[in-house]
Amino acid sequence: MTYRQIQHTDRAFSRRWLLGAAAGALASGISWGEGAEAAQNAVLVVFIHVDTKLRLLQTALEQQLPGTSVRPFSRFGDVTSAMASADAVLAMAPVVDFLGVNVVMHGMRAGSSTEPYSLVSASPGIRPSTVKRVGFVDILGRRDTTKFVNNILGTTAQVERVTKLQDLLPLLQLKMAEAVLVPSRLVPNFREKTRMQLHEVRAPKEVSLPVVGASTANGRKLAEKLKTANANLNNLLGVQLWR
Amino acid sequence: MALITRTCVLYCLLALVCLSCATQKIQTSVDASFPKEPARKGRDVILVIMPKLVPTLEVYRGLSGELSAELDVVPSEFDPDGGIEKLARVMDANQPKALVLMDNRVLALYRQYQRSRPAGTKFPPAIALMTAFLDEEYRYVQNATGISYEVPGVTLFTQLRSLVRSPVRRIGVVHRHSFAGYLAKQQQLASREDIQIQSIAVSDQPTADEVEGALESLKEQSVDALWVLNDNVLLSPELVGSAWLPEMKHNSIPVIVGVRQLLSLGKPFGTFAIVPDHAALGVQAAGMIFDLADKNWASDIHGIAQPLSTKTLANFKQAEKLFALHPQARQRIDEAVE
Repeated sequence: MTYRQIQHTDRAFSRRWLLGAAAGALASGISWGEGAEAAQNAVLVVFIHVDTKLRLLQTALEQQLPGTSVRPFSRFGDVTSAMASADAVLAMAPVVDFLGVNVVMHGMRAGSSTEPYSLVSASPGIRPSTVKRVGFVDILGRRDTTKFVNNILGTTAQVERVTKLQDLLPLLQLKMAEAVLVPSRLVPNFREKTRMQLHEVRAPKEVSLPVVGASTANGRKLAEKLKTANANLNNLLGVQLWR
Repeated sequence: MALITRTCVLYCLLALVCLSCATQKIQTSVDASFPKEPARKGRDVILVIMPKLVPTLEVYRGLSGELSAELDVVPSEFDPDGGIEKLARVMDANQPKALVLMDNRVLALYRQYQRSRPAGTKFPPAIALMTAFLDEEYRYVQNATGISYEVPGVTLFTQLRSLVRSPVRRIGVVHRHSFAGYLAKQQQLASREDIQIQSIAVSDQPTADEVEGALESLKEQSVDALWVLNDNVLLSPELVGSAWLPEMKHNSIPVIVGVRQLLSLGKPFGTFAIVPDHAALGVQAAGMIFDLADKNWASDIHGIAQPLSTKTLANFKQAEKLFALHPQARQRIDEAVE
């Protein structure tokens, strides 16, 4: 059984459990009013790598989505196990696709649902097609993250995975990677933190902006609420609006 | 004599780490049970030998979370009384493709185990974690690599720069003679960020006067911040009481420490603690194991890696009295310790 099959089995179990729970609730006479209250207690799993501490993103999301239990994660392995009890997930499109959850809303920036990425290095002359060792935040586990990065760069580099965006700079400082791959909009933040002379080259392919995937009706309601997110929250997530 | 001194220092450092662990254990005792061995699936075995401490369990969580979909990760609790016989039984029973050894005591036991085997025995690759000053220790173990427990100075200084308003260009550090090589490596790395380390050496068994004199000298050199090494000889209760604390009374610059306890002594000492992120350390180690698996457990491993992911703790009450903080300093730390 593959990892993906395990995840699908988990979801199938969750669905069976939810159906059973719903039947139990009806049998015990719980009113629809109480059901609606439960909708407010939706669980949102968040797996977005932002240039700030996760607790700040969590607070911003909780303010936007009162009554929602916002569960941010920085490790891919934790996300897959957290999905069993989630109504919705906020993550990059390939992650939501991997988890097998329906995408109900796309983040947009400059009229596009994708954004450019840049290869950033401390040495000149590093090119996407020739880079040998590149740092990237782990979004899909070892094999799939490596495939993902190499697809964007059009190469077969070794990928050094980190769990936080903030850990990419040490990869360059300690020469543990030739370059790191980051959203182009974050390159100025990257430069701000270091005195190293950084070189930037655009990656040949763009990468999806965050999306919301929903696995329950509560999750879809939650996604609707996120459409009205304020500019600060959207900025944190790297999007301008949701569609 | 040198070996005795080094061993002594390492155990003292371990005590410092354990002190840190002990406090965290109180805070998260619910999670402190030793992991049960998961059902085996007949895959390659990774044997993880570790003491039951909150940080080691955190590392294990990150490690097994990464590996368990592809490998059988088998936890084994370190038994200080078990000796090499018990370790030999665990090794024989599991036939691991690779080992993860957490803590200096575990590494020392494994070293004894290797010595007890017949000449020419092939040992599986071992990855040492949570081991103080590993860059020295791993050399005494065959087929070993690992990740340092000490956060590189360059990482600390870059973090500090994002927390304070004042420039961070010259960092003062007091160290014992035997740490000179370590400091030289740190200077090399720090120079990439235009940071100079002003180091003052004291003897390997320093007196309070020596430490006080070194701190005074750094003050005269107007360094921008002070870096306190996790050296338990320099941080013995006696030296902390008679040299560090009296000097810190008159301190007005940021002080970076490597353990949380030095932020909350009740008297002025550390202002920022930058410590490894333990779960991320486990993920980083898992990456090394996958690399080994890709090479069919080939044993051409050499050198050790540096920890990439850190957590930043701050004593803002202390910091705000002494110097100007970056307006976003509170947003940039993981935890405020008052």
